[in-house]
Amino acid sequence: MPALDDYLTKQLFIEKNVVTYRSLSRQLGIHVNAAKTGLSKFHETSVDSTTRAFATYLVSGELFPTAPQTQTGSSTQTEDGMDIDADPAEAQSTEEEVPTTTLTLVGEQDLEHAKSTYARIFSIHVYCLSPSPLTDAGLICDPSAIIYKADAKDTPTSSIALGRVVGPDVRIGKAPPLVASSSKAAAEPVSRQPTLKVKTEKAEDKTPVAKSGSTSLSSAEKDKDKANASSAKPKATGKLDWSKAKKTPESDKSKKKEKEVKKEESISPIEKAVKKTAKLEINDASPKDDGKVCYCPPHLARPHPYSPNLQRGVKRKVSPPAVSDAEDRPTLRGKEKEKKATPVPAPADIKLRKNRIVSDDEDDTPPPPPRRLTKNRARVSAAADALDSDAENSLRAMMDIDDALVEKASASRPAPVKPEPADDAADEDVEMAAETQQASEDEDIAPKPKPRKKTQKKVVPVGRNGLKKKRTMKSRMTVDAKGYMVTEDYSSYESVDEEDAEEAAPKKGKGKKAGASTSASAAKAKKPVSIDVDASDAEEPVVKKKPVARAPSTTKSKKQPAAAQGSLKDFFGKPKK
Amino acid sequence: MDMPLKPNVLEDVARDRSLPAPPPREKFYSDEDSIMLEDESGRICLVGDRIRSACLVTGVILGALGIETHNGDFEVVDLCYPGMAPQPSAGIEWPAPTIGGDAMDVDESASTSAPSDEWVALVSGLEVGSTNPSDGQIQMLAEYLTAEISSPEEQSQAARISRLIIAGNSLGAPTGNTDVVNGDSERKSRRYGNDASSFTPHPTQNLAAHLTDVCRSMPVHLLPGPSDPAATILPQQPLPRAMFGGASHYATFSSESNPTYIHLAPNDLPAQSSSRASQPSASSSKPKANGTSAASQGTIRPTRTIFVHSGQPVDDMFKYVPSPPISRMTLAEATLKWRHMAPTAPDTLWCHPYFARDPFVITQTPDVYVVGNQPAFATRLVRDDEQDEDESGARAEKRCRIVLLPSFKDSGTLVLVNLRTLAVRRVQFAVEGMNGGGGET
Repeated sequence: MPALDDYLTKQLFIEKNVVTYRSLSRQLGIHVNAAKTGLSKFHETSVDSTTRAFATYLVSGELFPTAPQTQTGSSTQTEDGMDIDADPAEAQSTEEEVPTTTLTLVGEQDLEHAKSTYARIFSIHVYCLSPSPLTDAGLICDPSAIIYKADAKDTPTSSIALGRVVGPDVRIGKAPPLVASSSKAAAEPVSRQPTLKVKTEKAEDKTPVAKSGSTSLSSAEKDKDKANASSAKPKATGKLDWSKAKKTPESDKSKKKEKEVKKEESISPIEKAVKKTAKLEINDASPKDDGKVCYCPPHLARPHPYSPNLQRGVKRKVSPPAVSDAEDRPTLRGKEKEKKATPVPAPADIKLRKNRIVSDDEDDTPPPPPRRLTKNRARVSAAADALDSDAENSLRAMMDIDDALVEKASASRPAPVKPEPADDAADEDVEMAAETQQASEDEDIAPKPKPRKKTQKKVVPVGRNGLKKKRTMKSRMTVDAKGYMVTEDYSSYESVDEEDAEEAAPKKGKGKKAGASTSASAAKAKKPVSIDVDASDAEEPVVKKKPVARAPSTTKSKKQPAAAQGSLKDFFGKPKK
Repeated sequence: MDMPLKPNVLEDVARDRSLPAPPPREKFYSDEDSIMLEDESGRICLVGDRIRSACLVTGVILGALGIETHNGDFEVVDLCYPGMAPQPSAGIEWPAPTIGGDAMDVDESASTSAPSDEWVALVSGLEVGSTNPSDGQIQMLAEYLTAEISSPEEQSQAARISRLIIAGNSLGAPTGNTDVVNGDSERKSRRYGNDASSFTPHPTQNLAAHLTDVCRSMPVHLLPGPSDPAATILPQQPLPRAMFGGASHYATFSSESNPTYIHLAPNDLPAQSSSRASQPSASSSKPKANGTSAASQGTIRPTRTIFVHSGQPVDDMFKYVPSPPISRMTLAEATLKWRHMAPTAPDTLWCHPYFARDPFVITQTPDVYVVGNQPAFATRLVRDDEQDEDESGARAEKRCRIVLLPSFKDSGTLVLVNLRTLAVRRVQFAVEGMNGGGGET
């Protein structure tokens, strides 16, 4: 065939390419067997000419029986060694004859040698032609680019004409989605919700139609949101629904649209698959349900997409082509769930921070917020007392968040606060969200009872460090100074937490002896105020502590002006020295 | 089992950090091992010759019959394992398309295969992208599967293959940085002499090209293995389809998790004039009744379950046992008797923490049990020698064909399993007189 000869001449001698029978068949559109004969003919003719092509042959047949047996025999020898007590089953396995066909790629120079190793030869044909003998088997892969391009360009059926054998199942398209498992994955988190609403959705989820599955999924997810909302405090329900409903159903809808589009695409070309998957779903109903009994708290969204994959991976009972996309679906679901869960705490957290930020224009350092809050609180103390339990609960929850962020806060705060909002994080988030909706007044009021409680709690635990002891003393002082009850209360807290502000004063009294003297003078000054003797006793041990202790002494000094200013000035005079 | 040579996390923690860690041992087996039987109430040490000769690894569930010795140990007289799991497909004949299937008993493994029987191709350890790759053999493998290579007789034989299962290690482990540089340059000089654009050195593209080639002809199942870019913890999750470019367009290309069950059933598609087997199997969990011979079976549908994993459980178990008397094939057979594919799982074989269910329990004995990436090829048809409870005779005995696949890079072996008779054939791809990976017989 002149075309073939021309092509081969060009490829081999001009471009110095390797030509395999496959690339020749794709290039010229002939059957692979015809290509093989064409190659061999060309090879015969080219041997005579000056420029010759070297052929590489493929020999297929059965090697001499010694070769494969020694292989298995040697393997058993390495395993069995010379052990006579070898398991008799081992001997059986070596005896089992496994017919082996060997295909060997040999260059023409080694052809005879290769043929001699064969006991039976089924066929020999020219595999490829090359301008020089091939030294590396990988070189036969070079013409594959032509093959891939040709096969990809034409429909698969065309390559059948060229000799490729194609199975009837093979088709291009998306792997049919596993509707069953995906909807089950959706039902899984849904079922974890304690509310009954959601469980009814589960029944809906088992409909085999993909679209209805997706819609039920969406409704299931919405119900989950509502369930979250309903499980929250009753006060928060109304507002909570909005906050959550805004974010999640929108995102869900968008995602669902994507999924539905995806499902539509996949369903339309492959209708059989839908029926199959529908039936698969029914088959899978029982085993899958058993597997997904383990309870996970609803806010742990991450494990959900994971466990379906895990179990599905091992107990694969459905058609494999469908699995990969099906796994995409639960991960989609999982992402949805995650996205659902995360938007809820995220905005809540942000808003919470805004709370604090709003109430406190300074940075998020621990001391300022309580101070500011207590300030406002002082004004609205009556109103604060009048807060109903709902606010308190939400406040406690908020306090809990605060504690997580605020680490410098006294250790007493988290301990008693934690048991109260010990509900789900979801509830806290609910409360947080609810909190954010409230008026700014609430925000002001909200933190106020918190420090009040905190200060009260401060009194209770006996100090592990000097800090505590200091605070106890402050409380006593408030008892004494009745004229400025509120302000002195406030100032006492100031003194406790705002060590920075009071640094000037304590610095003056840095020397321990100076501190002692100040305390002594404070003790003296206190006498006219009729402080208990205990206070003075308490002062001294306080003074023995580090500079922290000096704050109380100096604050006492500040309080002194309220009581007796003359003595205070004297007091100040001494530390300057 | 209390094995002093086994890596112990407490020792790891207590080890002096300045000293480099000792290399992992190949075998944990030693003479100082002691075997314990443990349950919620406590543990007891098992002694006796029966125990010494038994093939046991950590995590096996068994019952021991024996006597307590005076020093508190338990001398074992006999052991009892769970036995092979029920096999619903036992006794149900796979339809033989041309020959009357009623006469053929499924259990006759040496029965002649009908010319149009279906075969499943199994391969593992292609290791594309490793040093010294066997690209030539992989090319030959792809051509064999598309039935283009060799003579028309061979082609018609190859046309019987209805699907391909790749059991792990499709991508070779990347070597060290310096080695990669050298290896690439070596390969480049060897291979891409003039035409550098024909075959990209990128391993995944290389593998994807081969897979696409095969996917055009038959359904392909791909499992991740120890050297693949997938999580090392069992069960390994499927490799993403998008990695494989053209192959992902095919609905019949499926990426599987590492231990996986593949259910096959004969399809009732009408016999086609294509050169494929007249009744190829469809992989689905709802097999449709076959027209010719299985109609007599009534509502029972023939299925074949192929259980494949990439070899990590067996490799791990192999460290626990003395190798001369006990081989990997023995271990694989033992896992069927223990009904657990990876008893060492949380101990030395990394796996996901599971609480409610153990995913590695073999609840139904598969028909074909494939273990990939083993050092040598081995196969055995395991039959259940225990009497079935159901004595009515309706139940046939269970049988399972265990196949240990060698790494293709080293041996160039493709294994074919006949779905009807569970017979095994091997096809070897070799290269003589030129470089190209392993494959020499």
